[in-house]
Amino acid sequence: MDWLFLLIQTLNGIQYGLLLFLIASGLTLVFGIMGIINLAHGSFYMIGAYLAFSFTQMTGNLFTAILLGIPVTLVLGYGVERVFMIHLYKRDHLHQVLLTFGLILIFNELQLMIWGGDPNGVPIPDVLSGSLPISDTLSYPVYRIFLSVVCLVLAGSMALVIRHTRVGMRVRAGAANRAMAESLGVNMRSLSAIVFSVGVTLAGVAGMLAAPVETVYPGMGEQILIISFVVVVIGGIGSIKGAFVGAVAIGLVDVYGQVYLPEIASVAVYGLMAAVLLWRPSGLFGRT
Amino acid sequence: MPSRNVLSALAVLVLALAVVPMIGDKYWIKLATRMIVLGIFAMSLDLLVGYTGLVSFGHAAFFGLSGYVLHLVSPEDAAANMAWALPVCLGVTALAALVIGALSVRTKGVYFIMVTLAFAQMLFYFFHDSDLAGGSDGAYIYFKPIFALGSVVLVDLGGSAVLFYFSLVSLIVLYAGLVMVLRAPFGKVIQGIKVNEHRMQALGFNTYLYKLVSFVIAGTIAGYAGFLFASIDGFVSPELLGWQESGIALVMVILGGMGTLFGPVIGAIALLGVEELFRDRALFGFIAAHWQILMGGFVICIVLFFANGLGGLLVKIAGRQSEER
Amino acid sequence: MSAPILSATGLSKNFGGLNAVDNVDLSCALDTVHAIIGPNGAGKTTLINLLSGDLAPSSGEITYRDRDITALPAHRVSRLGIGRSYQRTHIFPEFTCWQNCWLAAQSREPSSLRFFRPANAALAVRQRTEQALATAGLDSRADTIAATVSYGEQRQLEIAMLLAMEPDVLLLDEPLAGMGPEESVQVVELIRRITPGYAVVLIEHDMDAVFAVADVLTVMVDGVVLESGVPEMVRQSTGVREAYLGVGAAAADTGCEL
Repeated sequence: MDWLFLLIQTLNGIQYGLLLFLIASGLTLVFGIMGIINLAHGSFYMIGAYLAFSFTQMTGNLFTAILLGIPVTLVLGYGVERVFMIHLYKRDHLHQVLLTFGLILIFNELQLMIWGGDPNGVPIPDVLSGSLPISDTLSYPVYRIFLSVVCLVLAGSMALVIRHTRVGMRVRAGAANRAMAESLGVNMRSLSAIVFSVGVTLAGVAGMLAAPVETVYPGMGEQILIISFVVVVIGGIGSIKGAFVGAVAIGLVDVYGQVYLPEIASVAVYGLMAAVLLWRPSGLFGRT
Repeated sequence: MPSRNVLSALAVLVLALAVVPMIGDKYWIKLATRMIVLGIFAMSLDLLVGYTGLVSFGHAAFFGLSGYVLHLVSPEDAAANMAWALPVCLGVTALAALVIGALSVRTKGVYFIMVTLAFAQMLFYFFHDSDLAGGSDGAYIYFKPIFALGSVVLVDLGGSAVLFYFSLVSLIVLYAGLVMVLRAPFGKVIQGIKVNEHRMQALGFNTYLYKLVSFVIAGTIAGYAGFLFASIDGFVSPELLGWQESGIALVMVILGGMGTLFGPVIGAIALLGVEELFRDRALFGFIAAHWQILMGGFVICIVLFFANGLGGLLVKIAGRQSEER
Repeated sequence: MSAPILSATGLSKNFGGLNAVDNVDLSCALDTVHAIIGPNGAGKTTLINLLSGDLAPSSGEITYRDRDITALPAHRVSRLGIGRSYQRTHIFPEFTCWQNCWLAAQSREPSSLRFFRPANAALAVRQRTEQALATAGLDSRADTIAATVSYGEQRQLEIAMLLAMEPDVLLLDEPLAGMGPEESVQVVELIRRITPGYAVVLIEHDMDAVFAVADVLTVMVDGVVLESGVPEMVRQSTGVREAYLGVGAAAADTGCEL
């Protein structure tokens, strides 16, 4: 048993898991707070990655690219909320799913029109391109550690804000009872717009951060979206703790699967989901 | 049971369709066949969405799986005999629906949507990543299925007109079958589950069981549609199982009118027709190459402005459904 | 009083740290109405949920006809012959009153996994539906969409659905909730009329109604049974008066409620 190899794969699994955690937090934020299931969440991950690609090409620096990409994504998210999501608050899940499905079709085609169908890569910034030695022969890329830490910090901060600040309280009030919150003076319209923008920007930032270690290609949004769904199903909707546990579990299963059992790697994650469903249909931490 | 007027309107539609192979060329016959087969697919989804209240975003899994099974059982040098090939396709599909359904139906609401999407994607990746059936390139069915008893060939789906009429007759038979099932005790129960599942449990119904049976029936009919669809072009690819296919099926259901059975068939016809329009350069210029944008916009417009669908419109115009006791 | 057909012993349900129902004993016999009263939050609806199988108890036992039904889910309990109505109207709003009762009546068939013959062909189901609607006084409203009938009629429909299930035990959770005086009288009459042949467990706040129909009265406060017995006796009990009217009020007869 090659323990060092296992360690590296475990770190990879955790890193992937934390990336998923960031994305799933955004998803669960929007669903938990606004009751909207947004299939286009993955599209924002893709948009983030492509923005990182273009801005890095323009400015030569990934960090600048991210600083530019965040406001762009926020504005885009805000626009989508004002134009489309605003109609979905009173609609059922089927309508939400179909409308956001339409959005995916548009986003995917726009991406092809603007960037084309070839996969792209984003270079790791020099300052983070080193490796941390963990033995005589093996070392672990610094960027992946950076990525893990940032994802954890971002998602964790969001959770803290929701739980422990005044703004967070208003957000939770609005989630629990929209009409009541409004009559108490909470401006639900702007709050919804903010929550949605932040939620999808979390996915966008995940895309920007992941761009150097994952390929940037068409359809990357849906791939990650569906895995995020699996995370949320396993962890339970509306639970940040659940999203964390689910994401790390999936990250590990996926990476171990690819390395040790490549034939079943792509279905291993779903097998995990099936197992959880048998035991806890509402997810590990979901409210029944 | 739809009212007389609605049935008459549907009869007219069927007659209009029946004329197509007599006046159109192969391209139009194939298009019309696709419309009918996707109509069957959408109709099966309506059983789930419109009558049982189960929004599945993974229904294409059964549609595509059946096509792949047909490829796998079809010899390279001869046509498969529907007499056994069709039951095999349907059997495999039904089994898949049973397993996936048994797990998925344990969940409710949004979870169900996500879980069905995930399981369908699992099947997509299985066929996409493995060598079993051509991987991402897809695979061919060199000879379209025939129906033969002994050495006598009764039906050869290789002829496009034959496949068209076979599909049309299938649609009518399946429609009638579903109407019958919905009038039967089973149909009453699933409709009750859609309206108030908890109450149905309180009345003594094991709702899990009924939902599962509905899921399996719907999945099997989707498999039948998949069998036919694979026969149109003699080609299967992983996209048939993909989330886009499942999403488009849901759009057809909504566009045509959820909970009407015939509505989704009209939705399928309409959607394919709209797609033809969007791809037409003469009408849409350079956007036609990127018609998915137009389609996305169309889907959004349907959801925002037209959520009751065409079937709902038809019912309103033609008169209320006869309220039987 | 004849032998109990439904009985619960030591029934408890706790949520986190809260004992919603705490060590409750209850029994009900045929042809009797056992009313449960108590202030809001006393645990009455939770108790009914435990009896109907909607909730699983944390401890205790429920016996029906000498059979332990403690762990059974709601649909099994219902099939055995225990039916319940809900505090907040829990009908099928889009269906007609007839169709509402029909589903209840159909549930008594051995299996509804029938796909070929039309549901309407089942004569037994049809008869059960007709009878239930007639008993509840809703035959004139049979073909009206349930969402459009009056609130009082919807409460009657709740009970009609219950009757169509042909249960032995009726668990009625505040059937008079939200009703005006005239409608209340009608429903009380209905309950009195149907009691022969059923064991009725009734939760109610309307004291006039309770004292009009109850054969046994149980008072619950904070999840615990305070007093249980014949209504007159319970009425006189100081403990109960204190619970309802506050300490010291037992001496003063306020003339309201009790």
